[in-house]
Amino acid sequence: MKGCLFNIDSGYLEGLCRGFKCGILKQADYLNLVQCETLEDLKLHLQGTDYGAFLANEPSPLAVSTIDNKLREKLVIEFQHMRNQAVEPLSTFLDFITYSYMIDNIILLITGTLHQRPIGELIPKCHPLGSFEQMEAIHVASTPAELYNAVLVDTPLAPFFVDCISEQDLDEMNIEIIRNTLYKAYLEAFYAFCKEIGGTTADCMCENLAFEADRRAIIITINSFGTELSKDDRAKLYPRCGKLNPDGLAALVRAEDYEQVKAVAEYYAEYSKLFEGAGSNPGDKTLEDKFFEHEVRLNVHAFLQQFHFGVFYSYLKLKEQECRNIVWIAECVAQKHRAKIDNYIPIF
Amino acid sequence: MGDMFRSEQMVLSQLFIQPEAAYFAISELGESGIVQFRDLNEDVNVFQRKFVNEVRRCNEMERKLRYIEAEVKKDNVPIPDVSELPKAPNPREIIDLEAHLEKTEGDIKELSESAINLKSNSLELTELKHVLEKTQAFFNEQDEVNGLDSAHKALITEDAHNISIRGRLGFVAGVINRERVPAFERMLWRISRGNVFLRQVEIGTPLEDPATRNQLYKTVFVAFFQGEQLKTRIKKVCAGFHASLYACPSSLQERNEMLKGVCTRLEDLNLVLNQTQDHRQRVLVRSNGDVNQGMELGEYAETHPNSTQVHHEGEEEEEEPLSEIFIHQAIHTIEYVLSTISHTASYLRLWALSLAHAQLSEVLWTMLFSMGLKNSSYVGAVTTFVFFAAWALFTIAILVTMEGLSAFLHTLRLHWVEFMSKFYEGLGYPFQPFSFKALLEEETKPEE
Repeated sequence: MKGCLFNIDSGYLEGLCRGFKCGILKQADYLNLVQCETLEDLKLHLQGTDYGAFLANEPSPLAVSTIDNKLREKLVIEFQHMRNQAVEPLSTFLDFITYSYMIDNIILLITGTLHQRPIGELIPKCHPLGSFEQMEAIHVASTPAELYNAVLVDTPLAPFFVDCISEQDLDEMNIEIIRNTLYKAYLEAFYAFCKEIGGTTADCMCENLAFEADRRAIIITINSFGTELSKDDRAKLYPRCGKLNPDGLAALVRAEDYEQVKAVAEYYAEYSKLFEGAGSNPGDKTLEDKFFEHEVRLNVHAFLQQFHFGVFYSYLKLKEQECRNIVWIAECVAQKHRAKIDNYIPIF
Repeated sequence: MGDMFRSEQMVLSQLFIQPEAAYFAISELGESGIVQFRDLNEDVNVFQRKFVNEVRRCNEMERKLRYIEAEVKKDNVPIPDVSELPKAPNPREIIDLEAHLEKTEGDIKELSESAINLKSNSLELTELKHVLEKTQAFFNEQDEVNGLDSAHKALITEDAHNISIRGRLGFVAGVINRERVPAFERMLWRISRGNVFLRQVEIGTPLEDPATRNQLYKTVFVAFFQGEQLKTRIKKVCAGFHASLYACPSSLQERNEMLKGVCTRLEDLNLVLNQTQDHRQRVLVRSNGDVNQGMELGEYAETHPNSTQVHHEGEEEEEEPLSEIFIHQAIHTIEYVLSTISHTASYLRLWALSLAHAQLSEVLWTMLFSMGLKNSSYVGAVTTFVFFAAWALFTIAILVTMEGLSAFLHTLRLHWVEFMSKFYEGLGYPFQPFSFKALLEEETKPEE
């Protein structure tokens, strides 16, 4: 996709996205936030940032969940504005981004129904970007086959579900397997779509998606130690669009503890760096934090290039990380437990 | 004449105010609207400044006012336009205002909640009425299919047979938003593998949603099915699509009786609703006066955290060693002289432009037009015609358009760079005085 033709359809949206990106909180803002004594202080400080008076109409006392919801609401409004203005192929690209939230919502609803929670209590917990028409009627399904035939077949997630259809009842184990199988199919489809677009978008997005795939493979492996998940089943859950495919994945299948996983990662330069200094010792960062940091770095690099769709994906991910950071700090402030308040992931 | 382009004479001054007098001093300054405040405490966090608690109280009051204003606007109660702005309230009045606002907000919230409850009840009864009226047609059809209509009634005498036929098909009746009907129908069809029979009819008039006050178009539907397990699944789907289900009796007589009961209840409910609305109007009109006065409160929030700054210009003087002064002045002189010479020489570009123009016209004349004039009589006429066209085209393109743009550009550059750099700095920002009047106008403007 030549740069000169990009602006005809997507110039306004890329400009808008970069404008939003400039409003992401800087290190100075975080230094101010960690000095807050109460949530009211937090609210006052956020008024001076791009968030503005978003908490103005909330009655005091504030709760952390209110802040979380309002932060997410602002992000959703921005994303939906961009989605409404987009044309092909950007509109399909943005839709692909929302499919991951749809998968999360479906799994949340099914798990909640399994634990006999009323559907009315679960719906507000769903992510607004991933809502679709049939979502609220999902509790009619008790097996994956029913889930597909009744609900998912009309949604864009239908092609991802083909590998999951079975007549077994939905229970804890199956739900996790369904989640990971859905996500694997989604990730591979997204990767293929970006490759098809080509150009800078493919360069940027395939880098991000490959890291996501590898990260999931490693996390699935580590989390499956000590569970009933067999090695063959585990192999079926690994997304194949990352750098670990095929040798790394084959080695991961054979791995049986954390050290072996680390040994596999040694063969790949970027991943071996992430395992250094990660662990459960005090003063170490957790492996998840290291993954988050690497992801943030990749997303920030996306903005160094112009005329590609990766900026939209990266903006969304960075904003989400910012929401997680603010909520973390808010929790520490609200509970007056300031020991780990600096454990947020700095972005800029 | 030059005064038109100069800025106003301004004075930078510093005010030291006792905290007790701070409120009155700032309110006086706000009324007069001649002072712009500068923030001296830029490095300090917003929440660590001196008057932060007062600011918080003001913000709370502002939030309550906004809520009351929104409710007043929703009900289209006119807010009287005050031509003369009331004076800013003093501290004691503010405490009274705070308490009054809290009570009003609580009252309005309660009234709104009870109004919403009443409206929901009214909506349910209206929907039930529509269901009872419109499903008449469907049940008639079903009776025809089952052979139970008036034409056949006399011929069938076995009661047991009647009951078993009527019990063959269960049904649920309800009301759903019109936009959700296609997906709803599709899902019912899927979960029942095609064994559910849906009949629907649209409600012509839109119904008002109690909470959002939007006008919604709805559809009455009846879903016929067989078997009890299917009933639970259908009910789940209805709940998922936010369809309200109503217990509709299957016999005509029962339906008519229910319809009569519903109509009377609806009338009673409308009476209560109207009375509640009147009461609400009265409360809202009373709180109108506060809305105007309270708007000014917002402005105090902005000034309190700032402490004003002033220092007389020229009072700061540092002692500089004499040699440094000489060196600075020498450098300054050399720069000035050099730039004067180079800027003046820059004006020679105008001579270069005119030379270029002259040469180009010469070229076009000798190479183009003269060639055309060389021949005579009829051949000459034709060649003159042709060469003139070419000559005219090039003249307009090059000599008029291009050279014209060039001349304009160079003169503009000479003006902005070589001339204005001698004295013009372009610094300065618009004066934004702290004035209540200006701030109130700014707040009301975006709402129009």
